[in-house]
Amino acid sequence: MYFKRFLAAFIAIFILSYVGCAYIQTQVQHYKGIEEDFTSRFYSGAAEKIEKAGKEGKYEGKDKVLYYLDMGIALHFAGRYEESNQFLDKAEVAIEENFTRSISKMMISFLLNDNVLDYAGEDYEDIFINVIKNLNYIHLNKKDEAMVEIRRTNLKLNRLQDKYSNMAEKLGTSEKLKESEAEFSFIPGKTNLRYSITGSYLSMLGYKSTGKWDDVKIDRMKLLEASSGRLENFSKEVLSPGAENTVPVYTLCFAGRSPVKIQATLLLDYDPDLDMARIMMPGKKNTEISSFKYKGDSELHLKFAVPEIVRRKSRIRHIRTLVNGQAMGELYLIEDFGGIAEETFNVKKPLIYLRAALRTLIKATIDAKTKENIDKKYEEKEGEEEDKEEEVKKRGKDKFMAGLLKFAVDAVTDITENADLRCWRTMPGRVYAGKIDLPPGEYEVAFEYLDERGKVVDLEKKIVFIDKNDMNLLEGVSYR
Amino acid sequence: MRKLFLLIFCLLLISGCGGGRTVKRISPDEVTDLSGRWNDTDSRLVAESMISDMLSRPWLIDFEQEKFEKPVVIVGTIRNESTEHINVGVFIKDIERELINSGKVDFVASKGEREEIREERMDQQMYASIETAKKLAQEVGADYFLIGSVASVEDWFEGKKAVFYTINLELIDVEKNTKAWIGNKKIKKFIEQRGYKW
Repeated sequence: MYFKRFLAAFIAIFILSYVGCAYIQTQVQHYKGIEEDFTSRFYSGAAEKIEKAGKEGKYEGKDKVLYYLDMGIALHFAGRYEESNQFLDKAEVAIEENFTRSISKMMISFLLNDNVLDYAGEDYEDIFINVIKNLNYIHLNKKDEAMVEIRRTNLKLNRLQDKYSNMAEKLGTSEKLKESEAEFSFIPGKTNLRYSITGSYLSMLGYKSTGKWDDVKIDRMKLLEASSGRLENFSKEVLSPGAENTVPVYTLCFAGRSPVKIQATLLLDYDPDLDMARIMMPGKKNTEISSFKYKGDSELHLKFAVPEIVRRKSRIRHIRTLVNGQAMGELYLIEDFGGIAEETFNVKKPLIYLRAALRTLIKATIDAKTKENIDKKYEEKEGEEEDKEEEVKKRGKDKFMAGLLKFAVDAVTDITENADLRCWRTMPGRVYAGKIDLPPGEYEVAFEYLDERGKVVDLEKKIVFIDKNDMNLLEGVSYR
Repeated sequence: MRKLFLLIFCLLLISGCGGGRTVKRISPDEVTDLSGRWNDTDSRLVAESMISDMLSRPWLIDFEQEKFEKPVVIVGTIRNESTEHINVGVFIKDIERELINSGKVDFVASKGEREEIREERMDQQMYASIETAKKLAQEVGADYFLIGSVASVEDWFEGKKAVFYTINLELIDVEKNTKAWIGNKKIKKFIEQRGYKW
């Protein structure tokens, strides 16, 4: 009997800690080697490592979007554009499919954590898929196909405009939240994600190459609106006619690494007299960040995990173009995904925090009830067997068993307390762009990636052929 | 408490269940609308309907009455201006098949195909016997050039999507640069994606 219970407790902990690695925890360990390959420009090596990690089960079925995204970007920078498109197509389809949410998984996520849900990609990641596919088609010289991606980007941005305006509205005045007596005092953030500067820039170039000037004008307006006028000079420069006998050569460089999610710990205090749960930021003086009504039995002081967005450090501050060794000016910083990630996360933050807090309360209630049941069971046994001296040893075993079962309950609660930290970790962090005018011919073009003191931290050279009938888009990247 | 654990176990089991794959052969004419995107059925039906319309218009009778022969047609570029990656090559082949099978027009090979055949003819001048080598400069010039585009407009809201395709074909007189026929075909699809599943 004891052995069976001991075994059950052991198996429960073992299964959760083993399965937990993949199922209820974000897997990031395998990214170490992959990211090193990205930094050292060994993109084929990175693709091989991603493939291997996929075979080893590092990307669960629920994380297949991440696998496709990682493969897609690695193959893009490796110059394997057709293959890259195949993976990015799959990522797009999988993201679309994830619109249909699994009720069973949602219920499990409410008991365990959000890691069990299928990863549907962040909206800025979804937009970036089309940016990369567009570049792939440009490199493959498939202009019509590249234009399809531009139209798809614009379509997605229109959808996002509706989505975020609805979401902000709903979170501000949600009838459902009021009905559930959860008065949530978060102010939903605002996002500018209805615009993608990189998308508009590529769209502008695409329409320019097909002579659709009305569309060029619309994209220029979007670009200026999204950048609050910051890119006025840039847009003028891009659209200006070059000198005689020259053709425009457009440059687009990616630098740094995208922001990532890290786990942050928040405190949850519940006071049964007030029927009020408060979410607080731990510190010298705990700061209340939100509160909501909740009906529970006893006072609770709990910790729970939530994701936070952090930018990753990059040494690159400027990018300079050199043609045949001669400096041709610096590129403009047009888009920073760190800011976009923070903005979009802030819009969703109230929902994420509320879900996590409610989950913590439910888990704490289950935890307490389970322990109470264990105590009752073993106390009853103690009462029954009080007079029998030969049962003293058995009582000792009972206490040990009760302790072990309670430990198992605590372990299960701890193991399942993980924030969902999934994101497209191999996505670049910032986008720079520019234009130079060159007579048609062959050139050695170099991108110098400079730090804040103007020191070259990375250099990328390539031989290019400038043709007056081509779009002449040169792409560079440095993950440093 | 036991019931709760049983529920968690059942949910884990359900969420882990995946359906096996089955394959069965079906007729190529069977309509298979799976994703709601442009597919082989759209391509075939549009080609059939538009070419049938094209061949029933006055330009054909006018040409035959004037020249006492069938017009020679070539299919040029059909541009994809939609929001989907449409295999335009399949659509062009569907159009070519409809034109040839109608028996009402003669048809010349496309630009790429012609270049390959010319290469072969040049080869024959060098390596084939005089009796079997085909003559140069005997190609039939096209009278009409067929061009077109596939465009789409999408509207989407919370899992409901309406896609409107508009396909335009234009027949241009190669000698006069005049448009002999303009055809348009519209397709509208409504796609609904469920918000939830088990």
